[in-house]
Parts: sequence; structure tokens; C-alpha cells
Amino acid sequence: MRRDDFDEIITVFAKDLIEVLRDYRTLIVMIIMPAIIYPALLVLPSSVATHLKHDIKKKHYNIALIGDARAVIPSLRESKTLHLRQVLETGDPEKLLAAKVADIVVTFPDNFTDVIDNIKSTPRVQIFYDARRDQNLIALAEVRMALNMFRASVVQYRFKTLGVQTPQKYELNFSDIGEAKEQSLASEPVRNLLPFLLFTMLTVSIIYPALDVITGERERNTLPLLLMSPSDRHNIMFGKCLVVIVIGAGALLIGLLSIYLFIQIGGNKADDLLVLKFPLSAMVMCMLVSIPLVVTLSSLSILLASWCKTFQQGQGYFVPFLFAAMGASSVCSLPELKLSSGVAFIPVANTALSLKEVLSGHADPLWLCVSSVVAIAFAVYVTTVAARILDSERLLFGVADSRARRRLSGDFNPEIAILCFSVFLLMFYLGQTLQSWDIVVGSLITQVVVILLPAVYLLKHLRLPLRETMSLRMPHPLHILAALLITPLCVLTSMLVYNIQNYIVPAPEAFTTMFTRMIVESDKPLWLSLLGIAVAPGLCEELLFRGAILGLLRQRFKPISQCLITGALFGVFHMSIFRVGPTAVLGVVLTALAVWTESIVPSMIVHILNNSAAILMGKYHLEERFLSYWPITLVVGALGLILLIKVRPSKTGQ
Amino acid sequence: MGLEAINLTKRFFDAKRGEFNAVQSVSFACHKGEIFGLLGPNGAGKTTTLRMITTILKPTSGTAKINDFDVTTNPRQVRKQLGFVSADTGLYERLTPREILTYFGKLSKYPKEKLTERIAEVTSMLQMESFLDSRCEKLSTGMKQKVSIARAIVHDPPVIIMDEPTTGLDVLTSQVLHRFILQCKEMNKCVVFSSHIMSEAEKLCDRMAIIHKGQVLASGTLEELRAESGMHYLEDIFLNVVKEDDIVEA
Repeated sequence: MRRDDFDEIITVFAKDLIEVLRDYRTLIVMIIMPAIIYPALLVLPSSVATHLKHDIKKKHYNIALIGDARAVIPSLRESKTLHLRQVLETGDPEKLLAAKVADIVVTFPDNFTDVIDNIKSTPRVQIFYDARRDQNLIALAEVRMALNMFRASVVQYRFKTLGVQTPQKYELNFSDIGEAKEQSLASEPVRNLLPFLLFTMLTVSIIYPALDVITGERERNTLPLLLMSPSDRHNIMFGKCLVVIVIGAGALLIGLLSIYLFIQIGGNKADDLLVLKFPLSAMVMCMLVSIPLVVTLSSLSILLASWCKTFQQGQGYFVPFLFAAMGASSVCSLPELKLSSGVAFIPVANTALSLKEVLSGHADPLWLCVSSVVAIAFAVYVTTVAARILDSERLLFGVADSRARRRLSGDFNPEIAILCFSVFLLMFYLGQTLQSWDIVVGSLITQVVVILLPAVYLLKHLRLPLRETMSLRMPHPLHILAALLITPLCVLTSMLVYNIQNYIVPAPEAFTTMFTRMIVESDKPLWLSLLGIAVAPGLCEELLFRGAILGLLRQRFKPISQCLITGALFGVFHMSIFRVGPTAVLGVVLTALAVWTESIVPSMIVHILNNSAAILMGKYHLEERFLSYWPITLVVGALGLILLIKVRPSKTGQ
Repeated sequence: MGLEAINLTKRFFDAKRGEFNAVQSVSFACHKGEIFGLLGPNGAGKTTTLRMITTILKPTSGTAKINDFDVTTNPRQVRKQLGFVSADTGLYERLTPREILTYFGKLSKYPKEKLTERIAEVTSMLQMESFLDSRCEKLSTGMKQKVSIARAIVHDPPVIIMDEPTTGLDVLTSQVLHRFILQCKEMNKCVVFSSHIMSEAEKLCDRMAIIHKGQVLASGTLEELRAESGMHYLEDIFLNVVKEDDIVEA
């Protein structure tokens, strides 16, 4: 970074910070809410639960007895929580309950004492209580306990009168030994609630400053003046992002400190239902681990604010943004999820999980570092994207480029987004249903209806020539040969990437056996499996990704970006975190092949052969044998690559 | 050296009108020590032209050069040469004029050691000392316009662009602004200002261009325009040019 860039960032930062801090709304979200509301949200449930418990402990329940209850009264009087209010010879228990004379009414037969004394029959004792009040369940239990004690005393008395020695009662000696987890920094309620609370607190505290420094400038019409200054757009955006980060970090510090104080002062009694343990070390660790989260969320809020023309629009986007952030914090509730299982590479979710791991005391410093680096790199990227939106003519002055002219300039980004969204949605709801019904036939229908048709429809709608846009032309014969030669290398690469990904994000056994069950053990003939799972995707998916999408990207992006974007979309399209790596890499290779040969045919060949190889190797258990031929695969693949490089379409006059 | 607009064209898209030229092949030049007026009714394309010159709108075709720096290829250098004043641009309401001037002075790379002195010079010229440390939200419209002008010239730019700067100002403040424009000329600066007030243009401009429906219909000194149209008052000349264009179009 040049000295000038640094000066520009600091200048924008200092001015925006002063401006934001002079607004009382910032002070509310930065100081008052973190200092009072969030700690209260954490401590209140515990306090309420504790008070309820104390209430229950202290409470005395009024009891009324109807009928011949003389024999039971001494046992009932022994109970500390039952207060004998009335003993009636006759009465309506329901009326007594309705008049709130008693919490519980027990009725005894008129000859209860006689029956007990002479063992005539089983006496019917009924207990009436108001079932709408949960606390009465405790009274019910107390009454039952007292009646059981009474029954035990009757049995004891009868044994005695019969001269039978009652067996000695065996008592179990219980003792509670609470083994504290030494490594755990905070107690379980704090570990579970804190990430959710921090995400909410941060989102609320940063969204207003973000809207103020960007959308506010746009709305107040000061942004054009700023953009007329010779400062770099990126530096302006980084300066503004830094303000949001400082406000977010300030709110976080105040919030954590306040939570710490609330828990220390607000009481952490041994008999509390929810034990809130949050020592100073946990607070400090939380603060450190949350810094990448502050940075990430700040950059996202800056991006959101950059899209908004008015403050009102920004406030409208705030609720979905808040829900998204709160949703991301829910990864903490997934018990088996760990940073090392690849989540460290997923921004926002990684910081939530870092928090959980740090608080539970088994964080791996290496993965914490990876998570932090990913979060900060993501934030820098997001801020850079936001900087590009800052001087959008549409947002600044409400002027829009003609759609026709945009398309003429080769910008089909909105159309690609709509195509991908439609295909992904159709794939998720229709494709997966069809394939779960019948993997082969379902796949065939999916390929045509869900993948091919939307692509063709879009190009027709845009009135673009299908053959030209999709590169549907015959390649040089040597390119076909090259495609055949590099196919084994592609298969080997896919297997390698799958194994690497499997090491980082281990696929569950159900996933690894699913493919075998669905394809290898299928009762369908082999040719049909090959048609549905190899040939159809090889044609249709290529026409979508290397045809329509690449065709629409070609004018706007450089070849490397074309490969990366199409490859990434191809990886995501397979809708499985366990397949995203190998399919994305294959997607990049296939796109590079299509870009280089200027034809879709070679990538179709590789795709069909790659899928066929997966089916055949699975069915005939040929993986080991294939892997053992890796030197030949490398040599043949290298030959294919040399052939590709040597024969460029332009040189062949095509 | 100065400002040169070369065939500036901007096409916009509107849901009702479809694609249309907001500005079409607008060319003019303004030299050092000269005041150039861009005259036209509302919606004529004056603001769009000035926004292209100030680099915040990209021309669909054509370009403009400020002291030989091209707005399309070297926008950052262009921005260093410019000061922009407009009636509708806002101010940072929670900052004081001093803070605003310091901010823009720094962003415009004015030497740090001279910035305090320069702020004192500018604020003295515009008689702003009494409210220099009050927050902008408490200032009157006239005071705010003075702050806008001071902000535009705090980095001492060689080219000053003013987009209808007197709109909404009272006579006294307009008078201050007129004096300031003439002072700029004395300081050998190149001043381009747009207006739909003919008396203002008559009083201040060395040369002017009449713009209507995105096109320059006439340009030259007041004397040249008078000779061409055979009319004395600029307002009559303007109406004559605009009407002629409407008749031709009909």
C-alpha cells in the first residue's frame, strides 16, 4: 500500500467516524443496546428460571380433604409444602377448586378408616387439581408422596400386628459429584447463547453506520462531491468500512464487557438453573475471535449499503440481512461440525464456529488462523466489490443503461444470474425428485427439461445465434484426439481432488455408498445407465455451462475468469458439498478446453467419457487397477496437452 | 490550456421514452481567465454535460479534456484540476465548515502544511469566519452555499465548474457569488457555469453556448450572438434560437 492510499483511507475514516459519532442513533446501537439490552437478554432467562425455582420451592399448597380422612391427616401434616386448609365431611371438589379455597382437593370414601382398619376392600381415593396450572403438578406429587407414606405406614402396622418381621429397607446412598470441564471457558448456556447474541448485536450495531456513511451520503447528495475528489474509490470504501469496523468492534467490546459484568454482579449462584460462567479470559478470547467476524459483517453491510439508493431502502434490506446473520450463527448448534471439516473456509459461518470452539475450550489454533485469514480476505474482496458499485450511475443519478445497449456491450450478467437461479431451483425441486424416483430415467428427463431447455430458451429469448454462442462447431480432428488423450488425466485429477476434499470435508458413508447403490446395483441395463448418467449430462450440461453460460460470459470476461466462473458454477450446480471440489475442478478443465479449442465438442467428449469411466469403474471395481496405471495416464495426458497447445484453431484456419 | 469538450454524447434509457440522447455531440472550449456559460432551459442537458466533465458520468461517446487530461482515460488527474459547485449538492450537516474544508483539502492532496493557511484565505475571501466552527445543519442557505464554494476551491483548482450555482439564493448571496466568479477570472482560472438566468450570463460570461435538447444550438461571445441573431438582449436571442429549433423539429 502506498503512503497516499493510506492517507486517503485515514482521511475518509477520520471524517466519517466523527460524523457517525455525532449522530445519537449510532450511540444508541453502539453503546446503549450492547450495554443494557443484550446482557439482559442473556441474564434474564437465567434470572427468571431461578426465581421460578425459588418460587416453587417456597410455595405452600393449600389442600382440602373431603370425606373420612382422619387416618391420613397425620401423614399429610408431615409434608412441608402442603397446608391443610379444610377438612369437610361432604362437598364438591370442583367448587372448592373454582373458589380457590384449595389448590388440590382429595376425596375419601365415608368408610375409609374402617376399610383401612379391617382390610375390607380397596378404598377409592380421588385427587382433584386445576390442571391448567403447572405448579399444581408439584402439589399433586406431594399429595401422592404423602399418601404413599401413609400406605407404607399401614403396611408396616399390619406386619407388626401379624408378628411378621419386616425386611430391612435397603437405602441407596447418593452423592452428586459435579465434574467441571476444566478446559471449557464458559458454561453451556453461555456457549449456546453467546454466538447468537453476538451476531445479532453486531449486525444491529453496524448496519446503521454502514447505511449512514454510504447510503446517507448518496441520499444527502454529498457522494458526487466525494467522487469528484481525486481519491481512489477503493480507498474511500476501505476508509468507510474501517469506520463500520470500529463501531462494530466498539459495540462488541461494550457488549462483552457488559455481559461479563452482568454475570459477575447479577449473581451466579450455585443453585441457579442456568449456570452462567463467563470469566474474564472467556471475554478476552471472545473479543479476539470475533474481530474477523466484525470485519466480515462490516464489509457485507457496506456492500448492502452500496446497493441502496435511499436510507428507507436500506432499512428494508436490514431485516433479511439480520436474519441471514442470525441464521449463520446457527452453525454453532450443529454438534458435529468443526472448523477442520472445511467450515473454516466458509466466511461468516467460520467465525461462528470459531467462537463455539474457543468457548468450549478445544479450538485448534491453526484452524482459527485459517478461519481468520479467510474472513479478512473475504472482507477485502467484498469491500472491493462494493467500491465498484459506489459510483454506479444508476444508483447515483437514477439513470439506467439501456438493456439493449448493455447486452450489445456483452454484459449478460443479469441474464446469467436468472438462468443459474432458475436451473438451480428446478434442479433442486424437480431434478432431485425425478432422480430419486429413477436415477437413470429421471436423470435423462432432468438433463433435457431442467438443464437444456432453459439454456436454449434464454438464448432464443436474447435472439442470439445458438450455434455461434454455444460454440457448436466441429473442432480440428487433432483436438478430438487430444480430448480423448487427456480424458484419463481428467478422471485421475477428479479422483485426486475428491480424495483431498474427502480429507478436509469427510463425506459420510451414506454418501459414498449412495452412488454404488443407485448406479452399480441398478437393475437397469448398462447402456441405459451410460445414456442417462454419462451421455445425457455430457451433452446437456455442456450445452448449458460451456455453451450458453460461457457464450454469455465470453465478451465481458477474460479467458481465466471465464474458466473460473463457469467451473465454480458447475461445481455448485452439483449441489453437494462433498462433490463441489472435484466437479468444480473438472468444470474449470472442461471450460479451458472449450475456450482453447473454440468448440464445445472436445469438452463434451471428455465429460461423457469421464462420467462413463466413473460408472464402469464402480460397476467392475476397476479403481485400483486404473490408479496403478497412473504413469501411463500422465504420459498420455501430457501428449494430449502438447497436441492441444500445438494446434490452435487460428493456426488451422478455422 | 483549460477545458475542452469534444463531441460529448450521453445516451440514457428510460422506461417511457426508451433510449434517448440526453447530450448529443456537445463541443465547446473554455480557456484560462475566461468565464464560459452553458445556457439552456431545464432538461436541456447542461447538468449531464457538466457531470461528464467532472468524471462522475461516463460519456457514451466523445470526451473532454481538462488541462490536457482526458476524462475517460485519466479521470483521477482530471479531478485534481477541478472544483465543482452546484445548488443541489449537499453538505455534511454534522460537520463544521472548517472540518469540511480540511477534509476536501486533504482528499484533493493540497499540501498539508499550507492547508490551514489556505482555509483561512478562502474563508476570509467569502466572509465565513463567523460560522466557521458551527455545524452545517445550523447554517442558512446562503451560508451553506458559501461553504460549498469554499469546498470547491479549497485546493486551488485551475478549473471551476458551477452548475446553476445561484438557484434558490437571495439577491445578496447571488451578488457575493457573482463577485466570486469574477474574482476567479481575475485569478486566471477557467470558469464554466450553467444557468437558465439570462441576465446572469449576460453579466458574467465572456463566451457562451445555448444548449437545447442535448445539442449546442449557438455559441460565441455575446456580441457574436447578437450579430448572428440581430437581437440585442440575450433572453430574446435565446428564445429565438430555441424556438427555431422547435420549429425545425416540428
